[in-house]
Amino acid sequence: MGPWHVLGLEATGDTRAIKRAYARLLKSTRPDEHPRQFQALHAAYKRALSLAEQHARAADAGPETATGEQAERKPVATAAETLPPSPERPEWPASVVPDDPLVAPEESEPAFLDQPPPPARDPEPAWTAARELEEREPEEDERLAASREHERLLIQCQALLDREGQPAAETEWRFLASNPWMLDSAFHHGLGDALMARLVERSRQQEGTPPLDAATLGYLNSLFDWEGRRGLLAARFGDAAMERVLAPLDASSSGDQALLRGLRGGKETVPPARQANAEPKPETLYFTGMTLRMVALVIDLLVLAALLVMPIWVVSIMVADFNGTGGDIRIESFMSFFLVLAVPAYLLMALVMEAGPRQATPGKRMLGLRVTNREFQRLPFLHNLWRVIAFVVVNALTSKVVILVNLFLKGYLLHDRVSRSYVINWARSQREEKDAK
Amino acid sequence: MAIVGIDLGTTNSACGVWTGQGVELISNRLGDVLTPSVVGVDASGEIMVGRTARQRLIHHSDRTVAAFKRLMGTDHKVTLGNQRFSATELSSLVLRSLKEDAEAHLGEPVTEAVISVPAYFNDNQRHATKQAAELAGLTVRRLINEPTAAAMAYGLHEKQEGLFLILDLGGGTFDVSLLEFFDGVMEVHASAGDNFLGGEDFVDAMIDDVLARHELSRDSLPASVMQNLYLQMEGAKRRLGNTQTLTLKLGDREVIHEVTPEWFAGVVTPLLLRVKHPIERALRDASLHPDKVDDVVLVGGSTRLALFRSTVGKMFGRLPSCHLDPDTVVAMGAAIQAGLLERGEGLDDVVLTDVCPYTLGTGVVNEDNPKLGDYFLPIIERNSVVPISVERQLSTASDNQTKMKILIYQGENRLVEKNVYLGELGVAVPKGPRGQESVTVRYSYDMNGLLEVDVKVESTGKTYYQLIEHTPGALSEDDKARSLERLAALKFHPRDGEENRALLARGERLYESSLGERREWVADLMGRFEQVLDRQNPLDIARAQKKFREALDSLEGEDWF
Ligand SMILES: Nc1ncnc2c1ncn2[C@@H]1O[C@H](COP(=O)(O)OP(=O)(O)O)[C@@H](O)[C@H]1O
Ligand SMILES: [Mg+2]
Repeated sequence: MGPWHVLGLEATGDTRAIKRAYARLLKSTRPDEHPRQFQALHAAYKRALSLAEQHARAADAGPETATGEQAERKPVATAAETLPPSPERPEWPASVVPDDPLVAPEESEPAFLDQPPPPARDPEPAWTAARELEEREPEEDERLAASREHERLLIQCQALLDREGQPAAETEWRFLASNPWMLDSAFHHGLGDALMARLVERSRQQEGTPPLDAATLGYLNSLFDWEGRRGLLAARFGDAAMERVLAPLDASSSGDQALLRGLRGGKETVPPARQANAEPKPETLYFTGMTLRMVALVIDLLVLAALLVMPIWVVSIMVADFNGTGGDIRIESFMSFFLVLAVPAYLLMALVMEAGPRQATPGKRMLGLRVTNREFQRLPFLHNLWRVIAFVVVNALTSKVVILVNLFLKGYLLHDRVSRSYVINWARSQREEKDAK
Repeated sequence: MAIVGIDLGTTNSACGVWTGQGVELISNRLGDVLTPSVVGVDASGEIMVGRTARQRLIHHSDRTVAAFKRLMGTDHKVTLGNQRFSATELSSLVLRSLKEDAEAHLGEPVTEAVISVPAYFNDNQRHATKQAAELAGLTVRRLINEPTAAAMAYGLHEKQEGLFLILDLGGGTFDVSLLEFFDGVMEVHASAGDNFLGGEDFVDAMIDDVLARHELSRDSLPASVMQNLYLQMEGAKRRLGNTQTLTLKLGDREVIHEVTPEWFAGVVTPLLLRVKHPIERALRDASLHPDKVDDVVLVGGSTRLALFRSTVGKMFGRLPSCHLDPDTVVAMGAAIQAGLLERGEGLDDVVLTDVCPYTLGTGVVNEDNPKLGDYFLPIIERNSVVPISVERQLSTASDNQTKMKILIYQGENRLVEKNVYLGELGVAVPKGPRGQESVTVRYSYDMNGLLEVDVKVESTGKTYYQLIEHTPGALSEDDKARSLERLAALKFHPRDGEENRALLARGERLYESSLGERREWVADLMGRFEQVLDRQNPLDIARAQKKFREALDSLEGEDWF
């Protein structure tokens, strides 16, 4: 659907009519009530305006052809065109509207609007031309004074850049800011661009090492807004050159300084606490292979055996010795203690610790493993209960088959699948991510 | 029930309502239209807001705080006495005070508000403002950009059509909005600004220069000396024009310092350059020549600086206008917006269209130069008209990736880290070779300048809504409940008798900062005033108030704070 259709207009060059139509439609298509339709209306409006402007420019360039062409299609606009220009049509080029003769025509924009001059041209005279436009009738003396000051400051800058040994500190550049000429737009931009040209030149000579350190560059950037004008500067000096010169700016981080400076009073300010869950999650996570999981299980059981079963076993042996019963029951009693104590203790431990903040039993933790749900988050307690039950049921019922099947499942084991949970090799995932970086 | 319009400023706040005939600005308990955005805690733990608190800024600086708007949208906290407050909570205390004043004035409960925020406020700061209102028991009907609000007030006042550039230089923020007014449409073309540039920075620059001249650092001076220096410089800044000779106490030294317009100009030139950058950017974004601007409108207390006016004047070749009071015009605009939301009578139908001042986007892997960190992928370009909703497809960057982290950033730098972090959203994706899995990310930016992000995983069809995590400065529901509970437990100075307390606080400040006979005299005045207060006879008190105020006025020529 064309913009004219949306606006309910014939194609026209009359921006006033376009605005009127848009305003009328907007009253029934309010942005807060009909966001979608509003976007469409607004886009049509902008499109129509730019078409009208194109047309106006064409009309300006070759009035005969444009008007003739228009006469066929848009009688309304032609009528408007032949009317004496009135202030009701502010969008027409200044040359059509009887305007203050001192006002610069629209096409010749002063340099401080950042129309990048063609790269071949010497950048420096640009600001002189701009001054002319800006002040309309520049005083000859003043212009001379400005250009002398420009030269003087540049020489001072060059001296700082050329200094051997210790590079100039940020504070040594402060003379720039206290210069009253800096408040003059054309002068300010001219100087900023000229200085940038020197920096680009210098970085070329030095083969890549940035000519200024982060602090100095940061300061000069706050004066000349190089970062904000990066696109324009790149158009002139090339992307690579800007990258070389402004690299320290990219690498430096802005602290809380600016934030806290203006604050008044208060006993102290407390910076944000490092977030407990700030640990970054690797983008790529790996399941834990069968071997590692068995090792973790063995470690856990050994730990539990050492903690629970051994003391009881030792005591029972001592009691048996004391009672005079023989040594032949020793191993069996160990095994029965083990089954009665260590296995349930393991399940209990898994239940609590895998749903806990570490998401792992001690054995898993030692190996850098983590139990998660399918969103890679910590399991809620009940979900973990289900996981433990699944573990018992799946492994106890058909243990040999299960082990065999599990060998082929690449770490996503049967009971994991049943309980919809993962055991992630966190340590490996993190290691690989670090290597990738 | 009326919706109030509130200007929650860095330095001063104000509140207004639409009455059908026009905007009525609401006076606070002291009879002032402006309430200083200063919060203090007194020795007994009671909270005070406004002028009384500001009087205590020097001698009770550890229990009083100003300009905390700077910390909005961050997780920094400020300790006052033995209590810790976030900027959101401090702002909510100011809002609560304004709300009470509005309720007393209107004689009915006030629960809804339009609140103005700097146009260049980022999403975190906007969310924090909204939450501050919620903590104060106000529902935000709309967050309106300050320059837009000012333009509303101007548009209504002047009924002039054309292209306007609004410059709002307040205490801590600088905003630029370029807007056009025609046929009852107020269209914002572009906004730009600097969130850390305002009148306070000019004072800081003065202080830094003085300290540098005497080879002192900020940390080497006690807080009360710094606060005193700050007040002296603030006063000097307001009286520029002719040369002033100040006697400054710098620790155990006393120095004479001449404040001349030339000295001031030299010291603040870097700040004035920073004023120019956003103006140029706004014009550039709208591809406009300065000559096309019909009028430059000044808003905010700091635009009173002659140097600011002449700098802007030179850029545009004409003097900027400020026909309306730059201190209250934003509150008036907010009240008009409130009136429009209620479809209040007496208001011509004005439709406002605004833009988002920042580019919104996400991080994508930087393969050219991984050392620099991820690139910023713009999703909504800056100065797009709002509300707007844009979708973008992103795919996995490495093999077997199981999770995609959508980092949400706002800003203009091509390196994602250099922009403002708004939060993140993690979604699980099925494993597969790189590039196979993709998600559709949708950014929706509403009329309040608040962002919502949804993500849809293409292969599973699962959609994640509004799950932005780690947003700096934002409160979770739990935090909010806790904060509400904590604030509810605070005791506030009662509205009655605030005038007396403000006078006593001023007396106390004068007592602390004078010596010898003067000091005795202030003590005597305060003693007598307190005696009258004890007798509790309203007529006597009113008379004594007047006398006391006049006596204090005679001691210091002006009372701007
Ligand atoms: N006459 C003046 N000259 C210079 N600066 C002033 C003057 N009056 C007020 N200011 C400055 O204006 C700022 C407050 O402006 P205001 O618009 O109230 O800020 P905000 O909207 O951020 O609260 C303060 O920094 C103050 O120093
Ligand atoms: Mg303001």
